[in-house]
Amino acid sequence: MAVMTYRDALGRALDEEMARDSRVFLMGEEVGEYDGAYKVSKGLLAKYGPARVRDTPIAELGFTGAGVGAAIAGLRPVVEWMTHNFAFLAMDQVVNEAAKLRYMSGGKLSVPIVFRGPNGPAEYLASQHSQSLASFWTHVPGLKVLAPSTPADAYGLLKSAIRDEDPVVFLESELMYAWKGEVPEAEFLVPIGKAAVARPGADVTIVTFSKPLRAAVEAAAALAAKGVEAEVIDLRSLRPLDEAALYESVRKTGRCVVVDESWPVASVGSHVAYLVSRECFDLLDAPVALVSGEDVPMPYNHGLELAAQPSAAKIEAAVLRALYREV
Amino acid sequence: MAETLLMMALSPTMSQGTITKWKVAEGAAFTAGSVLCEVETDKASMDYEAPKGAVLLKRIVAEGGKAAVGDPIAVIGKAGEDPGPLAAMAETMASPSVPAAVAVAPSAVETAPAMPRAPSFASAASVPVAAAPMAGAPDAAAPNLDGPSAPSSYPPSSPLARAVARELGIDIRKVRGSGPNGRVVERDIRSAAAGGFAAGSAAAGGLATGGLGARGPAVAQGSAASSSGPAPDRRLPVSGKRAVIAKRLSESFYTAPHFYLKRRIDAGPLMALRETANAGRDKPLSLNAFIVKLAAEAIVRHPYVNSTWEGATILERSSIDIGLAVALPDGLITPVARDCARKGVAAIDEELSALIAKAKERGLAPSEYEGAGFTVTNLGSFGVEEFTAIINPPGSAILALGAALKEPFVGGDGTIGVRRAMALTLGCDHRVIDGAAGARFLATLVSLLEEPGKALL
Repeated sequence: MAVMTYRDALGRALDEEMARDSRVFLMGEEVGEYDGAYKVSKGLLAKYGPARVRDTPIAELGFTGAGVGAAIAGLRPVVEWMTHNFAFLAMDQVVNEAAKLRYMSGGKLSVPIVFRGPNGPAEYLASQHSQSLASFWTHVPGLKVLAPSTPADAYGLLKSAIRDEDPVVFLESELMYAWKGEVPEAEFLVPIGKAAVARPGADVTIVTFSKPLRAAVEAAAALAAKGVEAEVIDLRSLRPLDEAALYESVRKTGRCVVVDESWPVASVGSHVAYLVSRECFDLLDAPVALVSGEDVPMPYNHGLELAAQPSAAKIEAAVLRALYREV
Repeated sequence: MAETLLMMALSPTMSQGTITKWKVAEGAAFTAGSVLCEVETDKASMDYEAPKGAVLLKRIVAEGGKAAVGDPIAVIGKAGEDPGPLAAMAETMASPSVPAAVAVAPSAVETAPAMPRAPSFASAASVPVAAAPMAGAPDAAAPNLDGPSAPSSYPPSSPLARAVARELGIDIRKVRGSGPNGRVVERDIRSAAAGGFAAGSAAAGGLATGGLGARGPAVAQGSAASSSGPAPDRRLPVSGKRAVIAKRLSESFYTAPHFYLKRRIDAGPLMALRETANAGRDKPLSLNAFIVKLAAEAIVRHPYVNSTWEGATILERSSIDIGLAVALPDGLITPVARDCARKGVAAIDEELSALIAKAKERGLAPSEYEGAGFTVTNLGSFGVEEFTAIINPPGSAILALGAALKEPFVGGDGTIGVRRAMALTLGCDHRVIDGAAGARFLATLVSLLEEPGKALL
């Protein structure tokens, strides 16, 4: 078992998959000569050469479309967006081409491609570069959407994504790249569509994914000191969604708090809250709560920036309210 | 958002209460669990504890005013919020100024509570719509005039609470909700199941015209049948108090392994002491007060008797709180004399007399009958010579006293004499108190009862 960063776990997965399958290649802005804007692809250009680690112009629609074409033609591209904020420009290629071609070709075409890069607010990046696109991607039938929050899951899910026969959108985070965790040295895959119990508990279920996992686990520790044992579910895979894991947990606890750093309207979090309300209705002791980002463009002022995002304190308060306890 | 605070059932049979004193001023903030007002019910004067923290925006029921269970008594919310719409609505609803409502009172008042508990009612925007049906109070009340059956008024409740209530056989209408707008949530059902109103956390009872209504048919049945042959059997409703007695004593008898130790004492010295002490007193000290005091002294010497089995732990109490079983027409109650080790016989007697008088008049508050670490029960006045008793939880032992009767005995020098003897039966919970431990305590108690002066040592 080795302790490594989320960044290095992704790099290891890319390296292993490129070594395993010569059809796999990486393309994006700064992925080659600069070793990646966030150093995920460090050393890959030197190892695999410019044919398989391709620096692209600053033209998201163009290189994302090139990736989709390469996938249709039989390669297995990994397209890196410097951040998902820039992927708005490429949305037509992802939503209208990659996600639909298997369906519209009557199964004759497949698009085995991975779109990856940091997603969600980091720090000091203002409105245009501080948003989560999780809900945008998860909305689309034909896409798979993965959001690992530990180095081991980042490694195991990226390998599964590269091997998948359909387009996968992979959500990382600037702040998570430096997070460390244990990753087994032997090769392994994490299956797509399976949630993980990040912390077991019997009193309340906290459902989250990606970066807010840390705040959820922190809140759970603070709650434990107050005698509340929270179960923290890390979705890992947003589409397909592991509904069974949600219901199993909420059937045990009768209370559910969903945490999603996206805006609250029509989000992955609000969808999860709807599913739990529908499927566990007769077992709920309190309305399902949603702790989300505030419904505003991200403020640049750092104090407001932090206040606009889910925090351990907000999660703790939501849990106490779900338990009808004083906040 | 501002919301109305409803009168809740503070005892199992309470259908309405009088607010004798408000403890929180309008505009003042209060925390969950703090006392908002004192409420006099049919049985007792009880504290109304805040189900949550907020600011008291407006009192709807003034001091001295009455409110049926479920009626709004105040508007609470955040500082500075306008209580106006809610207060106006609540007053329209509860006030007899609506002529139609007066005509059908009091049942109209009792049917009303179902409405204000609906969450939408708390929203000012919904007021006109929600208030409209209330103006037609006669409609709402009409079914209630048809017969004696109690109105079935369900409080808002969580789905989980309803499921747990079904599973445990709890009538959700009799549970006080601690959630927003009086929502009954899981913990309310669980605490109702664990001890009902006696546990103090969930008042049973409620909207019942229940007692009267349910008895009605049985009585009618009896009189109708009297003309032809023997009267039929009667099936009586179980009062809240009877249900609590049944539940607590069953639980004690079936979970605590009881064993009994018996001794006979020479009651002569104790009787003589009581006689001496009472000489010149206007009000004589009761024999029970002496026995409670001497039992406390014996517990001081054997503190393990004053304990509670908690499963993983045993709670050994520092204060010696002794309950005395008292028979009332509607069932047993056990007022508790607190901290008896530090009190004299006169103080204990005074405390017990006051509690017994209150129990007979208005009923006791839970804090006055709960938490005895040891209990004394005496059936001597009924001529019972000796008997065994069921341990009164949370205590682990109970002392049953028979009548002090004259009997022949063989003295130390072999001569036959006559003495006043009393049978003592100590019931113990074997999980906490072993046979020898119980016997040692009983030996000390016997020695103190036969020679009370030893208590001074």
